[in-house]
Amino acid sequence: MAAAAIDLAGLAKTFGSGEEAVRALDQVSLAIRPNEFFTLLGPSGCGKTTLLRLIGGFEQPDAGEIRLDGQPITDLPPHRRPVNTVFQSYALFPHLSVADNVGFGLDMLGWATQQKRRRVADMLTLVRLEGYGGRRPSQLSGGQAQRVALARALAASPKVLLLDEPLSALDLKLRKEMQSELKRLQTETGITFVFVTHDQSEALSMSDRIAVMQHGRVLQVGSPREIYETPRHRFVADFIGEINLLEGELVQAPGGAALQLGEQIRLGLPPGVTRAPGRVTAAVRPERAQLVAASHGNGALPARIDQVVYAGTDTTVLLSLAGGQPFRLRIQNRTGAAELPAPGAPVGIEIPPGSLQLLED
Amino acid sequence: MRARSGQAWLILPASLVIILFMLLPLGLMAYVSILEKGLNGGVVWGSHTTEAYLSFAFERDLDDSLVLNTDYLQIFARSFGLSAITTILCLLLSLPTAFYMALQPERTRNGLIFLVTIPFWTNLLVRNYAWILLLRNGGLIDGLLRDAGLSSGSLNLLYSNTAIVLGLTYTFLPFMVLPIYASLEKLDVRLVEAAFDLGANRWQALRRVVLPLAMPGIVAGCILVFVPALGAYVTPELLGGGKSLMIGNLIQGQFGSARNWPFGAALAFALLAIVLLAMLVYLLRFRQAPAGAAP
Repeated sequence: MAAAAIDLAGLAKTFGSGEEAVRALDQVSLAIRPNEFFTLLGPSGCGKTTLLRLIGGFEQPDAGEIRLDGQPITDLPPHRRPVNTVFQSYALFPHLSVADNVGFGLDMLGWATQQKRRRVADMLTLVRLEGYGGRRPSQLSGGQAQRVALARALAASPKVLLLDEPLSALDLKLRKEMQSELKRLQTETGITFVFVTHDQSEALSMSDRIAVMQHGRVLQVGSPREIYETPRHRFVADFIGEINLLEGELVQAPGGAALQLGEQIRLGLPPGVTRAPGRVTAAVRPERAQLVAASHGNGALPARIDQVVYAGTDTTVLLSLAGGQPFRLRIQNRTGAAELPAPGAPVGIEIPPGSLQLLED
Repeated sequence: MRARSGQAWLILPASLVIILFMLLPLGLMAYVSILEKGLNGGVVWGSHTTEAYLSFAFERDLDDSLVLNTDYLQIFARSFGLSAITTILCLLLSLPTAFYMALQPERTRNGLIFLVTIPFWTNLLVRNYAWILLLRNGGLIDGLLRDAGLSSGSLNLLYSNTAIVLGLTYTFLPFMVLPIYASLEKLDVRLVEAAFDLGANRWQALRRVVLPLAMPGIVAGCILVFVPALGAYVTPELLGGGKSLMIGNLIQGQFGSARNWPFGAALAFALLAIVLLAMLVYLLRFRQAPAGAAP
């Protein structure tokens, strides 16, 4: 495999000092591959924007190193890094026309006028804003301003494009549109994108890989599928999509590792569990569990239906387990599906062994 | 539309004051400027003449023919020159000051604004007399330099164009600092970061982003310094010592010792017209830039 486009090694950053000190980044190490759409995902204050600003050069790390294509860039000022940023507020220059905004970076590189004009026109075509070159940023809609910001950041063909929650100011419809637009741009330009967001569905639908962050640490890095289906941390499982948590005892049974819940229930775990027996938390997605009859037997969790919520494509069934813990289950609405039992009815929940995921705390 | 009729009375008092105490006297002055001067001051009502305006550049010879006299034009030129130098000096001093202020944390900034406005607390006359004490021969500056062996004899700082420019710059500096600071403070830091991000070094970011965006403040500051400097009276009177006249002193002289009211009024009007014209040109040019059409 080729060298990483961006190599982050042991980055640490603390803001403020003394008792007010905030540890924004705590020993973050990541390798972002070339031509990858890489997303930093986490709640506000998790350090994702700080990490982006470190790569952009707007902040200096307290410790650690940043390498771009193998070259250390930790000490380079922002204007000497082949990295461009799309800012959250777009930060278009209000006193310059759209064309001059897009051409700003080329001016700084000393491009000839003719060459620059052609490149600016190409960039505006790329973001589908042909003929907008003469406008002022104040004459643009939010979506158009967003495209200009993209064109400006891509004009000088940076090695890496940093995007700081670029879609958060757009309404839902426009955001969906820009998501596929961004993905298209990334594929067409072949530039490595590092994308910061707190929106998990955005992250899942656009990214090649996602790093989930919390409290200045990277908890898990993986493809959207890995992050969603095999979350390793309670926080990751909880932050992305909906999840049911089951506390139990890890036991080694003849058929492999299993989760023992109470006296009678024993749920099979996916193969390859190496953890020592003891108390553990396991997670299961609502759509992976199945509703079965109460008399199903030992493989199923006994539960009682609290509420049935119909939501068009699917139906969410809210249940209570024997111990009183809530459990959420989602069923696809298919033609000719059987009628669900009424609230209050005792039912069973069956969890296929592959759907259960052990979590680290 | 509805609001206009219902709220018009709100500006009535201010409008009355302006009409009674500004527009009417201005009209009166305009009229006085085309009247014949009275022998002992005042004017001869009903006797119209353009004599006052001719006096700008000509004087009557003994045989009543017009002869070129550039004395007054020189005073105009000097006023514009000194005001321009004052404006440039204020700008050069204010830009770094305003930058420094805008980059400080918020609490420090308020303290600095307070410091900038402190000179306003003292009467203008007192401040100008203080400059006399500093600049006069044997005064603080002259004395210190002589004691240090840096000069021999008297510097003759006072009663010169230098003294006037010093005094004017000192007086009008806050009028330049504050608007520039205000426009810098509003400036979005992310725009500067964006400039750095796109490959601009410090100088390029300053020239291509910060200065253009601070331009409204810079223009406002220049107008706020240049216009009052042009009509300054106290500072050239005290620090120029009557040797170096500016328009303000000339006008005062015509209404006072020279007893030529029409000429004084004509001078005042010429000054007003020039200032308005200059501002109009400047504003029109400046307005065009940000609203400019497609290249």
